[in-house]
Amino acid sequence: MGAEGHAISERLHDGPLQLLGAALLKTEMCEQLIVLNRGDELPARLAELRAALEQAAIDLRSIMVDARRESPQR
Amino acid sequence: MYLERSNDRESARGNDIRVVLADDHQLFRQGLKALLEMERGITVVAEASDGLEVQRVSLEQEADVVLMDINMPIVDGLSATRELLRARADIGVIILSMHHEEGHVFQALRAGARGYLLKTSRVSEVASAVRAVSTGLSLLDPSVTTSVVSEFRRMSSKQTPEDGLGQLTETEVKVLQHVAAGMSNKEIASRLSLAESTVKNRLSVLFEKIGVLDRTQAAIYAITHGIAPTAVQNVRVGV
Repeated sequence: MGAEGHAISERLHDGPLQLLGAALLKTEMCEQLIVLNRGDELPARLAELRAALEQAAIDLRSIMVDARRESPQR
Repeated sequence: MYLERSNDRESARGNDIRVVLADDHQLFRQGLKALLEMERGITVVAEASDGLEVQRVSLEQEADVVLMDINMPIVDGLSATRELLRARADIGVIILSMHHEEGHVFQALRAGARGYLLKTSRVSEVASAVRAVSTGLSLLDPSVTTSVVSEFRRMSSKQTPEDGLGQLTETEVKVLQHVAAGMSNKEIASRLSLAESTVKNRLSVLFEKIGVLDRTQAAIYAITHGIAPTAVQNVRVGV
């Protein structure tokens, strides 16, 4: 893998992957809140989950745009 | 940067397992902490966002188990693991990472980590690993176990019975079994009526004979060669 690939890999790891990891934890928290009959806390947690997923999508788009810019089609 | 300490030594619940979270991603740490604290018998006593801070707070807070990310600023998680275990060998370090490549797993085991889990694991799995490691056991994520077992098979296939397992004395086999059961040198010494220094020496010779670098690799060797105690085999084969 070239330097470009490494840089993309690092950005994917530090950005979207970490956000997806956090999002997975938030889904588990929602499951737990249901089990614990704390459904009133769900809307706030779901909003956090959505924010994490939105940010992951934004980061992915940005990485895609930069990757295209750095490797123009021949 | 040192982050908020969630509890003082006094406020950890009774005999709870004292856990430190080390990860530079605050969102992930927050989520994990909130869920781990719902688990019975586990208290998160401190958080750190870099590999230097985790060493300090783990010693200060007398952690039993550290959940350690690999990619962290200042000092990475693998170096932090090595340094921390040099200061206190009985702390159980579990690497919690997004990396599933076998190179990272082997580096983690060589650094002395007793567990390796992916960040995509469910918190109940993380909690089980914390409990296992706090009692001296080792645990790997199922998705990385295959590559670890393959590596040890490869190592084993290079050895003839004369230059590996077959060369161990009866006492060395017993020492290896106790290592696989997660016992410390002191416990093994007491169990086998040997001096602790003798156990240490036997371990060095044993590692050399079976071609491993540390007790985690030795434990995996014992399991893959069918000489670990049955209970340990049952716990760890499913790792």
